[in-house]
Amino acid sequence: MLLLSVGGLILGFGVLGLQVFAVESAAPWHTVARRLLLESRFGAVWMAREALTLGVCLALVVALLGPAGTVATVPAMLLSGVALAAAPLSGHSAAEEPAWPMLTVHGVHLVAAGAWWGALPALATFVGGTRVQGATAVAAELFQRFSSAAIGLMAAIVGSGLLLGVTHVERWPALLATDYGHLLLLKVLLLLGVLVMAAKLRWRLLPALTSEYNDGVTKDIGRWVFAEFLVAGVLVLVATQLGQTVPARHDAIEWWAPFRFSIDATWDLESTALRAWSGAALALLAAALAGLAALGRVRRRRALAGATALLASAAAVALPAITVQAFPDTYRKPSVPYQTISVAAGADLFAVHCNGCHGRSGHGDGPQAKGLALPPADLTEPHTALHTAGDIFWWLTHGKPPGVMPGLEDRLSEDDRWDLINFLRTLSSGYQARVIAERVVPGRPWLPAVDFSYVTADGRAGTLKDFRESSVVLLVFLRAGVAQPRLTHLADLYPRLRSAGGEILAVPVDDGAPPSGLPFPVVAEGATETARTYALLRRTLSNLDARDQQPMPEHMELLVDRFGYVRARWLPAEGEGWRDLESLLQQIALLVREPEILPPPDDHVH
Amino acid sequence: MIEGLGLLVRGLHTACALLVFGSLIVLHLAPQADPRLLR
Repeated sequence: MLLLSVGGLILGFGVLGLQVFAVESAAPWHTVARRLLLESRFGAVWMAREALTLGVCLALVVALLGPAGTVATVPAMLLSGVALAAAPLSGHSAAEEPAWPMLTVHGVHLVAAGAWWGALPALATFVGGTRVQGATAVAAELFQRFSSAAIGLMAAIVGSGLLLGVTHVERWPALLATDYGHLLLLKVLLLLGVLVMAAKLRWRLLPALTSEYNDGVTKDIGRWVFAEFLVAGVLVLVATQLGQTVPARHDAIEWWAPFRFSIDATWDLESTALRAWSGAALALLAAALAGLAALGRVRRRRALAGATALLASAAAVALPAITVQAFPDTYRKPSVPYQTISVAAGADLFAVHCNGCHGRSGHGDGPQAKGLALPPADLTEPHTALHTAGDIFWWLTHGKPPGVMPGLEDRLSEDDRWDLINFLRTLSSGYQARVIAERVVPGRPWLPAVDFSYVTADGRAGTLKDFRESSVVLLVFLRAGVAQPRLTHLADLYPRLRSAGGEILAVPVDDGAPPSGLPFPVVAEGATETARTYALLRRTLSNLDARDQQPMPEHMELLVDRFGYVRARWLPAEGEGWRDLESLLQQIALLVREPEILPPPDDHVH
Repeated sequence: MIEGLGLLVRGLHTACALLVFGSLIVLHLAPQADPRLLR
């Protein structure tokens, strides 16, 4: 152990050296090393770990020189445990927000791995080296104790590993299409191998050790434990590489298959539910049969063949029903945020590049549509989960098959294409938004409130997102002069509205001078794009305006909940509605009480 | 080559930390501590 600790101390300098040479700098190496140690998180954590390892060495020397007994090694054990748990402080887990939950989970993962894998060689030495008559009972007791502890340790390793995996991978396709995902799968595969070996040790060799006929069993156990240690050693190497690889959630996914499986996307299609449930039932039967075979209740070979056949039929029944076409960009994340400035830019691009076929209002009825073999898509239809934002990005980039739609890669930059997608997303949801009325439907957020940056008439800057989790925002769109009496009423109501958890943001819809002297902020810069974008949400059940003949209402008010969703809307042209200010306050009170139901809309693009 | 060496050094560094901690655990679980492990 002392040798290992000293080795760890020396290898620590090797790790520091690697880090120094990984820094691209014109400065000499000793300057880089000094700056790395004194000015970076890596340096602080490195120094702390080296100090702890030195402490372990000293504690072991004291234990060696002092009186015999395991109590003397307690300080060394505690110090080495802390040194292990401190390792994630300079890794990926420290980059999470907030960091402490993931750091704790990662610390538990490492300490449990240390207590299990790190213990295997010592265990193999103890048990495998037992040849003296009478010592077998001692070895059996140690092995029994370790084996019981190992079940708990393995549960901690698997549980914390699952949490870490889910956090760093985020989306399952990333498992199959990123370096991090591949390494993680390899780690899981190695772990399965290790578990099979551990099961043999626990349920085959341990009972043999405690039985009367245990000739040579200790040697066997020693060999198996050592073999388990070697396989798990490869696993440690893979885990080390994983720590040096960009976590999958931050890496771009380039999907390699021409298809993907998605229950979300296919659930509403005919027969999907029936086939998916049938597949699940067949898979359950297969699992039950395999379970019976494992317990020895049925003939093993036949049962396994039956389980395999059942599993294959489950796949044959369910998978085709949930298969959707996919492209390399299917899982690409938007590089342009969902904001009104992007939507307005997308609207301009649409007018230039898409109007011809898809028509001015996106119905697929442009002047050039008549000559086409296949009618252009109606872009006002709801965007289902059938197509991801990445799918649309792929079509905009590469087009659809010849004669259906040309690719726009040569004419539009990547950001332009995301602007177009942001516009299409708002255009489509604007048509669905015609059902939004003055009364909030409790517990049903679905319409994203497009974020925007603004500067108010008195020079204050902010974004709509700033109100997240704090206030319900009343967005008031108005034409200068037209809504003056309304603004006076809202100004009178403002103190009560704020104390009820609301906030008002006024957005002029024309270029006239913005109203002044109001107690709430009035957007001066950023109003044009915001008004243009939110005008897409003007359609109502009684006034669909399918041909875009009256694009900008003179006065429209929207209530945005604390989590970024538009929940209610009042158009004075449609009725009295929120002219009754008490009714408006009631809607705000309802939203203030409501907990978070969906994740923030910007993270949830279809 | 350099990458492989880097992986090896980092891997061994992690392995040393895990092994020291694990061996100390075994020492505490063992009914009769083996002084060989301390070295």
